[in-house]
Amino acid sequence: MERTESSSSRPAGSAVRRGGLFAPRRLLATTAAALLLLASGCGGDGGGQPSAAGAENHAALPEATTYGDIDNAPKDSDPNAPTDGEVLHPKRELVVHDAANGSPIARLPVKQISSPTWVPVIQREGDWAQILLPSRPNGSTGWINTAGDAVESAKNQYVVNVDLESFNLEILKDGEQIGQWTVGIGEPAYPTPPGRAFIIASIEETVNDYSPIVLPLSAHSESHTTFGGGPGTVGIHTWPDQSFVGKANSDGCIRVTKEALDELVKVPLGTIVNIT
Amino acid sequence: MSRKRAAVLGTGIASVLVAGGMVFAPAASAEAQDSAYALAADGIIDITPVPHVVGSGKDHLIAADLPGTGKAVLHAGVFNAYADKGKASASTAELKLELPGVPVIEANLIRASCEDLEGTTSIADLRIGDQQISLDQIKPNTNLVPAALEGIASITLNKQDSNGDGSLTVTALEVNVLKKAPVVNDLLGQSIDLSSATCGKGDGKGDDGGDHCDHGKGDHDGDNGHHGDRDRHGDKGHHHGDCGGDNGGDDNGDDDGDNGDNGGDDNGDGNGGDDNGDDGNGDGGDQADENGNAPAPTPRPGHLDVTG
Repeated sequence: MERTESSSSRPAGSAVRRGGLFAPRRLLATTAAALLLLASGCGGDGGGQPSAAGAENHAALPEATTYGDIDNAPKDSDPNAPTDGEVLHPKRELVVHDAANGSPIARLPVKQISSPTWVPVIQREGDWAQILLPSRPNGSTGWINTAGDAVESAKNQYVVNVDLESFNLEILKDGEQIGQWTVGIGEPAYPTPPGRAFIIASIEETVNDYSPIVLPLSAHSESHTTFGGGPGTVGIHTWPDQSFVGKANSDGCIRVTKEALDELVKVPLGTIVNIT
Repeated sequence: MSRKRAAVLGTGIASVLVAGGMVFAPAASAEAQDSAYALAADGIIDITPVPHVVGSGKDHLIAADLPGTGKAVLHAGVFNAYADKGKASASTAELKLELPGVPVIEANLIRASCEDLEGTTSIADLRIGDQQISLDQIKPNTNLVPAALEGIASITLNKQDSNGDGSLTVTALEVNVLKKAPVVNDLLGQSIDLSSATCGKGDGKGDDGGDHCDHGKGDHDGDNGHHGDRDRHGDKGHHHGDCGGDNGGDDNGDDDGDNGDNGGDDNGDGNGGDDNGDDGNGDGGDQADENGNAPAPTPRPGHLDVTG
């Protein structure tokens, strides 16, 4: 009655594909490092078919996670534009392209850290959706084909706006402000980067103590290439005291009060955070 | 062999401690020491307890595969161990255990907590082979032989051992490969401990729920407390991970984000008010609700060093 099961039936079961924790700078004897090899596009994918990331020539594409760095990702050309609120969850790892029907540049896994991946759509062309990516550099976008059963689509009613000058953060639901708070932001040497970002995950932090829940954003510090053991991800979280309120003294993160965090943890993943 | 552990020793260990993540100072005390480790294995696959904290301190390890040489058997997202006077806890997140010939064992979070001679275990999303095992209020020394493991291995949950020195050891999950299992010889009788905490009697200091959070500018874990206003002294009475909330880690069911006063919504938010919204996917939070709206997220145990 010997059974050998080498893979889980769950899509995100394999540890090595859970890109978030296996950046190459960790000395781990796994094949995870191979996943982070940058590869140039393997030629146009064409067609209207969803590109499953299982194809051989795509396995070497970088992963679109907070640890990724995808130089050739098209930039967000209009970061001030509103979106119609569509967010997508990949039901399987999807290939990300540099244009509708363009060349593959990355793979979008089904999880970000320990949360399901949800990305906001900023543009549509038929089955193709331009999404914001959680990887470096800031303002990265990519295109995924949503035909067939590739994605779960949902409507996100929420937007978060952060005004750096006034240290203000507000949450809008269906365009109406439902809360606003004074926050802390990055100090001048390590500023919170302006731009259009989104909440990539909701982490119940098991290591760091300063906040029970951390909401990492797709944005990364431009001044910290790495921070602690991480890739310099900018996040939203609270802090043990009030020393941050209305101040620019963080290393880039947006620090919020507990009351604000209590509301922010309710907004869906993929919620756009406009930092201006 | 006493469960009291001293320093981390052993051969064949291939654990790598994340930069900045390791610090502990054994308490200067002649009495029983509180300790915790997230993983150990006795048998042919020999894994020295890792990460391992004795006395007082915290440690975490972000590991992919252990042991690092030869065939990898265990994948996990995060291991944590924490010990302080009278209390200790260890947790393993995003576990996948693959022993050759044994159905894959997975869990999202395996946590053992020991405080003042009382032990508790919580385990989230345990899967063995294709079978989801639901657990609630895990009684001490619960023996489990899921269908998938019959004749191969048994599992003990919330294993609690009173040690000779009066301390208590809680091991959240222990996998015991049977001596006559149809597996390779190397594995016969193999046992693997996941998340084990040992504690003695506490000193009565309450847990203030995290006012004395540790943090350190520029050093993600804050364990070193180098930066003046928060030092490790403030750690006492403080449970790892429950800063600002009551995520005390000592009750079952904190796995699904039901620690309501952390602001995270309980199970069932955004998914029609039932359990954490999973319908075959085991995850939840990955579907639009019945109105087509994006679901409110469930905070999942994990770790990322953001810029603080």
